[in-house]
Amino acid sequence: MIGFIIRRLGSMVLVLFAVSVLIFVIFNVIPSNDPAVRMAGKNPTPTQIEAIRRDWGFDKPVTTQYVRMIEKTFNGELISYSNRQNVTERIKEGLPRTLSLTFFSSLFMLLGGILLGMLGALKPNSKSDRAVNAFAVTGISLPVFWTGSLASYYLGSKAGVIPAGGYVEISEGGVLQWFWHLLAPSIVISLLFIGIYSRVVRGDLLDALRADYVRTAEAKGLSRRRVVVRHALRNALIPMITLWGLDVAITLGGGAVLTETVFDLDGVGAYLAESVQTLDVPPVLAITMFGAIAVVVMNALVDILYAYLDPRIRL
Amino acid sequence: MTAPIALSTSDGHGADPGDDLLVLSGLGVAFGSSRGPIHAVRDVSLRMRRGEVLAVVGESGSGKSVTALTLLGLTRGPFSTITGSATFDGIDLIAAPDKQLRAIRGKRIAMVFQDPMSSLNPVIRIGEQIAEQLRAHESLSKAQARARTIEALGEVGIPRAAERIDSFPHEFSGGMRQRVMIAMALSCGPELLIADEPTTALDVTVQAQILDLILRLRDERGMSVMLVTHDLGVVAETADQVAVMYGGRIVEQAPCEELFADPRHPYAWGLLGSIPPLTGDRPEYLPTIAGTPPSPLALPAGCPFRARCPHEFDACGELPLLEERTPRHLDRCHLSLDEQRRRRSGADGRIGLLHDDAAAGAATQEPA
Repeated sequence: MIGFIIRRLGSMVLVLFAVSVLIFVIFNVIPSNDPAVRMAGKNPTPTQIEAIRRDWGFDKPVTTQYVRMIEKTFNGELISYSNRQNVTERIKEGLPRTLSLTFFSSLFMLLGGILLGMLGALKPNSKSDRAVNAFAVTGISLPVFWTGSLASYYLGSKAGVIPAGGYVEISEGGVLQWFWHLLAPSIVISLLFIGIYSRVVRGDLLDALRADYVRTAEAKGLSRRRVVVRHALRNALIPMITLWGLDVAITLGGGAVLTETVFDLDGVGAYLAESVQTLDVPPVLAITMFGAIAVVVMNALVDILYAYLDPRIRL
Repeated sequence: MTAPIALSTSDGHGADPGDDLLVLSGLGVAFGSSRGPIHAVRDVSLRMRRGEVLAVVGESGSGKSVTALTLLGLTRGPFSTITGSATFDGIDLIAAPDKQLRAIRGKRIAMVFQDPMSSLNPVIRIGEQIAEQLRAHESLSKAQARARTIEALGEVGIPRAAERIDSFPHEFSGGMRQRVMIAMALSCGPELLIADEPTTALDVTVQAQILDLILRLRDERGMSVMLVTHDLGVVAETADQVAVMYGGRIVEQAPCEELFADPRHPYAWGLLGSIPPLTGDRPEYLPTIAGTPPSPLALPAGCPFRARCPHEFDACGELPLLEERTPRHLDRCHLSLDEQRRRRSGADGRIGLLHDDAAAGAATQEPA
């Protein structure tokens, strides 16, 4: 276990280094991306630009700039170029929103994927199986910004069934309002993943139901439910859990860019979208690194869960 | 378990229906396929008495495993249709509702499968896998079930059972896993154990241990054993009765010693002839039965063994009946008993499926 943690920490350092260099290089080679020029405002004099360049260290060698930015990222002193806000503070503000969204959407993906997958596998080629398949294909095909916009506009703004967007903290509006505002965006994100997972679970469950050990379980005289849930499903869920862990990490690390924007949740993903639009390197770098950490950590958690679910796997 | 239920391995009890534990009557199993129905098992009728070891022998695809699985309602595959009946202690296993069948499975009829590597659930501790069966059939507390599980594991020769109970299947060798399977099968004290090629996947030395174990437990408990196998060595060592299957049908059924001493069906001659002799000159090549088993999709009309039988003649175009031509010895062949005796023995007196001209000539001279 200690070896496992050390190995994962080592890989995390490598991933963070690679990701940060990549982001930094990309933003340095983008044409017409001189932050000093943009920060100087309209019609600046060359001396003004020069002054900004000196103040912010843009005149230093690229490597020095990189090292300083990384230092600031970890010290929490990173400042946005576009509005001079503290980046860490701003991420901290958005994080509870993104976390809440991740919590519900990951729950929906998991339950929806398992339930629909079971529905398909237990009666293969039946009407319900075909309906699940149709739903899965639809869910996978529909772009999130489209379903999100439709839900927000028709169900939210027009019909008023659900909130059109926004986020309510538990301390302000209570748990119910908090949940109510997250319901639609969570479902919108989940649709795609429910589609994918239901297909994965259906296939793996069908395989498991054909396995010798399931026949053994039946020969023991166990109830059908016990045979399916305890013997077949438990084995069939192992591959899905891997996918799920990564998808949760991506949503958590600011990956729900479109949903957060459409539903005006103003979380980490929305901040990332906003920063990319203004070519604001510090927040993009910080959020990407945060996302990378989320992915590496979730991956490690998934591996631990994996070893628990399948005792043949050693960490 | 208590004292064995009256063993009736000697001859002479055949007619007493009270002794019959399992009666198959006209059992047929067919699977639907895109190329038409596959008749895996056809018109299988046999009786098994309490305490008896019945070996069901045949090549792959002869229908022996399907017959065994059908008894527990475990036949898989799309659109399978089952005809005939299988009566276990007065209960028709084919017609029984699911609930009644579940109460019998694992409790009164237990099964050991061929491959111990894949037959245990890889993610559940072996102790739990046994205990859940006990708890499905008997009202036991967790602690009681655990104690019974340790007892069951000890009985099949797993050392330090109390420690090994929390192991996972992958921590056991193949032989040990098969012991676990047997412990599981026997945990509820079944009256009938169906063992579907229980030793095929194991090393030869382990095979002997597992067979000895099954026989010892049979003797101690007086249970009946249906042993599905293609290994005639195993049959000779263990069985009281033997049923030989070919093309989904029983072609011969006899008490074990009698089958080895006086095999009637040419297919049985071929099976026995392909056992390498331990004494005398070794043949350069091991005799085999020429050809391949018929496809269950296109079984020939008449005798299923026709196409591979060197003694085939006109009458074989019609399916022979399974007849009890001497007491307790049934066969499904058109050749007369004398003809059979004459044709199956080679010059050295060994039984085999002979292709010599003498036998062929005899066939044309006096068809049976």
